[in-house]
Amino acid sequence: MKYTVPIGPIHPALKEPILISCSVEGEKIIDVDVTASQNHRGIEWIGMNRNNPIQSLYVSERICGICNLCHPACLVMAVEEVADIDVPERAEYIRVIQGELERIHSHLLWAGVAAHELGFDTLLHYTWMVREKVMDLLEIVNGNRVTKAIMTYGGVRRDITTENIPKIREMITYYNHLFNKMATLFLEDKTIKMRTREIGILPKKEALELATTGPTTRASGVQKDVRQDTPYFAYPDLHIKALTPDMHTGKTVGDTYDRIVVRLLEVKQSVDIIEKSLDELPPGDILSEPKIPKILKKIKNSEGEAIARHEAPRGEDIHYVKLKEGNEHLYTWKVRAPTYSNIMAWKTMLLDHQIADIPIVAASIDPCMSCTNRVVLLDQGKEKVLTQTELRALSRKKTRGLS
Amino acid sequence: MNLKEVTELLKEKGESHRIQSKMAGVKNKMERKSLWIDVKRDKLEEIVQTLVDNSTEFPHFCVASTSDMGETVEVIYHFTINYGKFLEEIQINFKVTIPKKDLWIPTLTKIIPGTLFSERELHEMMGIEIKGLKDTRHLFLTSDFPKGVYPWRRDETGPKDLNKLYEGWKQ
Amino acid sequence: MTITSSFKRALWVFHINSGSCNGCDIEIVAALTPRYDVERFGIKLVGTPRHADVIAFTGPITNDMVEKVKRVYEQTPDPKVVLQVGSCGISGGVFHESYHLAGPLNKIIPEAICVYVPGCPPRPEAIIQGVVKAWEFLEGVKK
Repeated sequence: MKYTVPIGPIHPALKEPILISCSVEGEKIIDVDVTASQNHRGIEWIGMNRNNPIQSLYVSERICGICNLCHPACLVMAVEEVADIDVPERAEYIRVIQGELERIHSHLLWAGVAAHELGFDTLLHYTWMVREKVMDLLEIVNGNRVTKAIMTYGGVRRDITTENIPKIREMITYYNHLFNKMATLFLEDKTIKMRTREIGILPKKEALELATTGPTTRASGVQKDVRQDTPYFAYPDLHIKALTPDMHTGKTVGDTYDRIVVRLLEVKQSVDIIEKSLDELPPGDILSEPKIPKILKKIKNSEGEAIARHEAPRGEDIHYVKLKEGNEHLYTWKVRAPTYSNIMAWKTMLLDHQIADIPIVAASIDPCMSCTNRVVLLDQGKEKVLTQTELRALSRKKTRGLS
Repeated sequence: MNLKEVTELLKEKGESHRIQSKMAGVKNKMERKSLWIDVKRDKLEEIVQTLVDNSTEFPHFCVASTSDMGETVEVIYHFTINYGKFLEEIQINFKVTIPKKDLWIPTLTKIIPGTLFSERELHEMMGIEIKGLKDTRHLFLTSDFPKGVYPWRRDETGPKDLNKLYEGWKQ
Repeated sequence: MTITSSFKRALWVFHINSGSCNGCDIEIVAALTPRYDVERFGIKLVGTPRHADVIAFTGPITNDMVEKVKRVYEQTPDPKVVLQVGSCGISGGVFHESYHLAGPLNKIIPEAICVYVPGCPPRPEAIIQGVVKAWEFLEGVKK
């Protein structure tokens, strides 16, 4: 007998709907399956058939509203490699600063969501209040909180003026004071430790074979970070190191607690990178070709193919672009968002766990296209569907039972 | 292994190869290099296995992309090796060209389990048959999407039923 | 407009995401956090449409979500208002001509009463103004 309960990826309803089916024997999960067709909007087809490259840049920004800068950054890098467009030095540093600001805002958002899944609403409100400082700064520098439209072919669209630099430094001091308090709140709390230690373990071998990326894979001990491995933008000057949890706690287990550790450490790393880039910001202009019709003509006459990779807050983002001469659209455009590779790790992480652990483990890879919209339980032949509210209530009940 | 050793190792199994590069960095200017190798369809599993056996850590599989070139279809597999060391990563791409009349390609899920989603997507978006793949359900399109319509193709099987804003929307 | 002192109801909102990019969703949740703090008016997010007065709707409707959107609309009791957040629900936004979209909301549910909040994404202040307009409408109906 099968019945469905109305859908509702609700508060904090940040993620797109996705359907996860878990086969369950009693309370233990034995199999996990994912259906992900609710969010497909045909963006690559739009870029290949309907838009010219400048319009595709704005569509690529709306692939995800949270990791907003990584998709235009990759598209711009790939087209610049094919069409041989130069980028001035000041623009490369500004791109680094924008990328790190986005990383701070995304990790703080995730920290609030993870606390909410565990039942810790106070931490949700606290983290999002702290995040408003970065959002104010994004608005002052870029003009908009989300969908900033700062990247373009050949540089960036807006400059960091001399009036804004003291405000950025003020934000840096604010976050430096707060970092120890956030670390204590998240990492020393006994209940969070009980709910996340030894839960959702991803061993290093599986992390390598399933090609996971980002904090998910760094928490399992793999030292993979595009900013450290491949030179792009101004990162070769900055000497970034991939952060693994044994730098803070001393050992690497690969569970949910380690993923929280990695993300909090990365916030601190981003603040340091912004400070260093501001000290080294070279003077000059920000755009190598300010007239848009000239850029469009140059792109229309070039031919070739290239790939571009960027370290988004969730992992490694890769775009493949192929251009053909005389064609005013991009001939082929393939986008692979970081969550695409990380979703395959859910199966390994959720085996032999209880149903109440699903929300925190699923949220720990920071899915940019998910939300357990419906979970189908196959319990000895009878099917039952749980909504996300029921799942979250189960998760909170477990927290209360533990403490 | 550095770029030269990798090229020597892989170029016998492939047809032609080229290296593409782009400068990056401001004070410390460096080159970002990628290696493109053309591979025939029946040598694909062999060349991927060579890459897996000879790299220090398991190679990182990024994605598989595809283009419709009229009579043929190109499928490109993007890999990277040598991550973990500072600025030494090498991006490797294997390009396989298959004729449209005989559209199949062998599966790589036995060597690298992380290719499952990419292969399901190739199957639903371009209509390529993946020999040896057990799970061929739709990944991103709904299960009742019309059969025979492949969104990434440029011939008559491309999607026709577009959601126009109002009647008379210009093409 | 002046808010009357006869606020008998506190609005309960049910949020549904039908394939959006998440930009509008994070601005809706940011409206609830201490900076904009819309919870002090009694507005809260509920877990089921059967308790809701307002349906906050984001995203262009993909083919997969059409049935679910219709069912949610039917399950919400009258009087109700649909709050369309973002340009995607109004006309499809940037994705308007795509093979996987089922049209803006007034193609699927023509009789819905909607408050439109355009923007990509709209600011939290704009969303709060949209909720206030929905509130005015519901108060008018109630009288």
